[in-house]
Amino acid sequence: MTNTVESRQLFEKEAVPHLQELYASAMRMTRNRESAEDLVSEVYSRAWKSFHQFQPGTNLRAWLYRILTNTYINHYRHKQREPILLELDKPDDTENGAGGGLYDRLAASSEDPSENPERVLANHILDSDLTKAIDHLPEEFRMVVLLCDVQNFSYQDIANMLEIPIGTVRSRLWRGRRLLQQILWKQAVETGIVSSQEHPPA
Amino acid sequence: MNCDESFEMLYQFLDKDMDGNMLQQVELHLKFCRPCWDRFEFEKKLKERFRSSCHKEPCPDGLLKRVKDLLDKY
Repeated sequence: MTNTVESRQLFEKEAVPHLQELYASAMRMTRNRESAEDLVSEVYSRAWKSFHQFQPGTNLRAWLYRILTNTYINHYRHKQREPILLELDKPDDTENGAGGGLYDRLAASSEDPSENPERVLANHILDSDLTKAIDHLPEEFRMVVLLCDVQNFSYQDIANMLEIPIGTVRSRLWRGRRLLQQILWKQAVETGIVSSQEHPPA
Repeated sequence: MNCDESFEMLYQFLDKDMDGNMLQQVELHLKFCRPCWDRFEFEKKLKERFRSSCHKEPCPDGLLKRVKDLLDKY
């Protein structure tokens, strides 16, 4: 079965508007402009070729993301360099309990009580710091963080897309976010936004 | 629910991955615990910033045309 003029109109109306966000996700997956453009083009090509299989009324956006994650995992992942591993804290320090997160570190480093963690985040941490931190995240964590935090998919949708159990989605999100916070903290110390010296309240 | 228990639920709370009963328990704790409320607010804002910073990635000129050309070909 081939696509008709009607299905072309429907595809342009329903699928093409997701181009910008698919590109934004592809950019964080591949961390490279050229690869991201190639990946998105391939996603649309595959989606269009199998559009007659798409069931109207089901979630078209989730369907496009499923094609995106599959295409990336099967055809692009091996071409990517893994991020340079930063020297991060031992897993034990970050798995449990509230301590050691970015919030606590920012709170402990502030000399000025008006500079609370929320203000540091709003006033000193730039968008480019945040995207850079995501780019440094190992891939298994980067994918779940992207799909959850950035694209707002449910844990069940993410489990379906990545073909992993929902418990694995939860644990990767937990660990991935803790890693992200460690990366952000290291970046903030390096750029001098914060001092690594702790200033416990007097 | 105490502070440690609410912290364990932090991400499921922010991601709305919990049942109504658990949601109520976390909300009740946050209502009376200012330190946890501050922490949850920070985590919520951080999540929002990750989202907005990634969505600001500008789509390259020409990508839309490239995609439409692909559709014409098939």
